[in-house]
Amino acid sequence: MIDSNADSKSCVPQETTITNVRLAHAYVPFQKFCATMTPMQSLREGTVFPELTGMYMHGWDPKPGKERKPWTEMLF
Amino acid sequence: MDRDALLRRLSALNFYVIDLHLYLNTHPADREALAKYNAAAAEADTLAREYEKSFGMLSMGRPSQYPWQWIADPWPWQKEFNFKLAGDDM
Repeated sequence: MIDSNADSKSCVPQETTITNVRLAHAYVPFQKFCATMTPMQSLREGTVFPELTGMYMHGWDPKPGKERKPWTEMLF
Repeated sequence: MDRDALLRRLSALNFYVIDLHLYLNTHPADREALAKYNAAAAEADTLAREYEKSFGMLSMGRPSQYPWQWIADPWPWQKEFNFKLAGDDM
């Protein structure tokens, strides 16, 4: 399912340190390039990036205990 | 690959290329992403040419086999044109 990398276990797809953050200032962490899914899997999920897959997709079941795994578990 | 398999693979590659395109707009110096973009774009180009040899033009401005392929059935909005998703876990 995942196209990329041998070292994806250690790859965090966003910056992890945010400094000088003040009250009520919105901040979106900058994405970093880690693994990508295969083209077919990307088409199904609506994104190339596992970390951007959401809950509104095929296979999603709203029942408690059936929630989709977070992307971290999909990857590793 | 048969027609459906070609079209399915091409659709997946085109989506992959579009999403990496968006990523590269905000990360223009990312060599790894650019390499993947170029590889996928090249494969999509190869597959598009292969498709058009047998099954007609994919869009306006593309080369055509003889006779002129644009007016040949099926049209893209007809059910038979599109690849089957059944059995593909969609």
